[in-house]
Order: sequence, then structure tokens, then C-alpha cells
Amino acid sequence: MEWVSCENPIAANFRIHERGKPGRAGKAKVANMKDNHEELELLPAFALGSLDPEDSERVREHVARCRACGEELASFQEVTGRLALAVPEQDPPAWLESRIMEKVLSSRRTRSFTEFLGMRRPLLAAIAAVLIVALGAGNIYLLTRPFQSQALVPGLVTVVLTGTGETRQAYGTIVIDRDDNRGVLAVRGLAPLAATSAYQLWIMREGERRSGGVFNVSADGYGSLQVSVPAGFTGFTRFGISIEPAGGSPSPTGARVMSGKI
Amino acid sequence: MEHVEPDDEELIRQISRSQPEAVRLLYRRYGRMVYSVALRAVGDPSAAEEITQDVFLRIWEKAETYRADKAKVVTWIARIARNRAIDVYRHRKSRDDRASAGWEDLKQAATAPAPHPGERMEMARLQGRVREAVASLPPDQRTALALAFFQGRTHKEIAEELGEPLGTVKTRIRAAMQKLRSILDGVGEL
Repeated sequence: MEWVSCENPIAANFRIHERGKPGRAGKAKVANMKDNHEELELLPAFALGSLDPEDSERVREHVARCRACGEELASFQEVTGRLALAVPEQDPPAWLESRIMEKVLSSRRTRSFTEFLGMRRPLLAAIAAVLIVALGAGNIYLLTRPFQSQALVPGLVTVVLTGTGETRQAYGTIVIDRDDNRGVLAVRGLAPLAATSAYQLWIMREGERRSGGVFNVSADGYGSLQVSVPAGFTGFTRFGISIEPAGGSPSPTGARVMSGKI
Repeated sequence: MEHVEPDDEELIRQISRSQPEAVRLLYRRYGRMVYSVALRAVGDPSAAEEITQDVFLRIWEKAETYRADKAKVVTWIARIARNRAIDVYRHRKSRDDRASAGWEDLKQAATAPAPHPGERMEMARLQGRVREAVASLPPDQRTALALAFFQGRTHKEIAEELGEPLGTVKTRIRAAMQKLRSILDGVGEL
């Protein structure tokens, strides 16, 4: 390994020495290491979190101003992280995955709402909030309100999605801010999928299908997704949603369950 | 069309974009590791379940804080899991002894087949190498390391627990970490 930009040659030689390749100068410097650079010896324990508070603070201060020791510490932190891989594995209960996903999905509304509020365009945030409330209440009248807003807000695109075939009871809305190239999708009435599958949003134009992200829905059929669209967003004519393997597909492979014209 | 699974960093990016299905995939890759670390630390299955849930919710909420230049995703998750498990252990100030808190069963685990056919081969290979590395440590180093790793104990606490001089414990932990680093340095990427 080549040591780069070491601000403290003693630190550099410590590592070289440890690997059994010390030069003569390196040995001499290592011999003096304890007097000049004793924090080095504390780095392994610091990475494990087993130093007392006083020594921890000393190491923290030293590492903040010594790049070589910082890199040395990073290597011990990597070892600490990898130690978790040595633990013989046991299976958690099968229901734990579902519980975690329930928590994730239920926290998502709060998270999404907070993110919307942080968007550069407050009006989009307000519309997104209306959209979520409308879907939550199943209120068709409120669901259509973004359309009315669209005329008032240049750059804002609102698309209603409707279900197809067996999912014709599903409905949803996408609100996209052209200036930010992102927006929000909210849907209701889709069936929850098995863990091996996911709904995937597609942004479509002639000969091209771009993924807008994957999502699933809660037990009551509600789902939402923060959407990123291609810069410019021009020429795209439709949104579609299909069922794909979990994690999504490079292009649609499953049945289309919803669509909407831009 | 062949379906290519997203890699770990792509899943973290998807989580950053609020795509919950990425959490599910990440859980399927690392849920067992997180649960097992938690169970080793606290010894209580129900507490380990809570810790596992907390870890993945934290990943969901904090994915933006992941820095690919600082750590691999698996190492980042392992750190979150260990820190959370140690917090719970310290809060309880005890552990249930239904599960081992050490590394005694490493040799069996190192030779055990992957429990799920779909488990990534690279992950299984790396796990095997890390287990072999830990198993190669002298028993006294392994014991001190286990107390530090699973329970977050300080040098002084470990010395008291083992009835050994403080300097001896410091030397054992330092030697163990240096040896592990030298062994694992050449081990491939996940």
C-alpha cells in the first residue's frame, strides 16, 4: 500500500512497520512513536468504542488534525463493521419483514409530507398535501382540485391515473413540477402485492419507457411515491403503472394496471 | 427479459428517493445479519426483533446520510445494528443468556452451507473469511474482543470482568484488531 499525503511520518511508518516491511528509518521512528504519537495505539480500541471517555476525546481531537491517523482509524472501523459478518446467522421470525414494511409505509406519509413542505415551490407542497388528504378521504371532488390549480401555476403538470381491467376501481394523481423535474404520485385502490413484486411507474413516449420508481401499497390499497422525471420532461405523453419483480425492471414486463395521459 | 437486482448502493439511492420496496430488498439481504448481531448482544429474541426493526426504520429515515466513500453499505448497516444493540444492552444492563455472546460457534458457522439458496455468493464468501479470521485469534483475544464488540464494554470493564490486568486487556484487543485487519485487508469487495 502506498501511503499518501501523510502529515505525520511516524504514523505512516507505524503502518508499514505493522506489515513487517519497516525500513531502517521506519524502525527508528516507530521506536519513538509512543513519545510522539501514542494515539495510534488507541485507534483499534477507539474503533470498537472501548476507550474511556477521556482517551476517546484525545483520539477524536488527534484524528481531526492528523490525516494519516484518520485513515488508520477508518481501516479499523472497517474491521469493526466486518466483525458483524462473523456472527453465525439465525433467522428472524418470518413476520418481521411484514412488520418492518408496515412501519416503513406508515412512516412514509409523514416523511413525504415533510419533504413536500421542503420543496422549493410551496404551492406544489400545498397541492401535494391536498392530494394526499383527498386520497386518504376517498374524496373525488378534492382529487380534482389540482386540475383547477394547474392553470394558475405555470410549470405544474397534473395527471389523473385510472385503473385498467381488473383494477378499474383504482385511481390516482401525479403532480409534477417541471422546474424541479420531480413531484408526487398518490394512488388508491390497488391490491397489495406479494413481497416478490412491486408496482412500477413508467414515464412514456413513442419508443421509450423510463422508470419513475417502484412502490407498493398498504393493506387498504393506498400508495405514494416521490417521482423524478427526465429533465425537460418534454415529449412524454403518458404515465403507466405495471406489476414488476420487487426492485423494478429496466422496462415493463408485467401487466399494466393504471395509466394516464399527460 | 433478465431481471438484474439492484446493488446495495442503488438500493440506498432508491430509499433516499422514498421508494420503500428498496427497504424490503435490503432487509432480505441483511436482515439476518442485523437480527443475529442484535441477538448476540442482548440474548433476547424479542429485543433483537425490536432492534432489527429500529435499524431498518433508521435506514429508511437516514439513507441520505450514507456516504459511499466512507464505508460499504453492509459495513454501514452493521455499524447501525451494533450501535443500536449496544444501546439496548446498556439500557437493560444485562443480557439474556439464551444465546451466546461470544464467538464459540464460529467453526461450525464457517462450514455451514448458506441457509437460503438465494443468498448472494459474495456475501457468503466474505462471511466465511471473516469467521475464519476471528476463529484464528487466540482464545483470550477472542473473548476480550467479544466483550468489546457485542456489549460495548470499555478496557476497564473488560479487565474487571475477566480479572486480568488493564494493560493485558489493552494489548489483547489491539493485537486482535491488528491481526484481523491484516487478514481482512486483502479480502474482496462485497
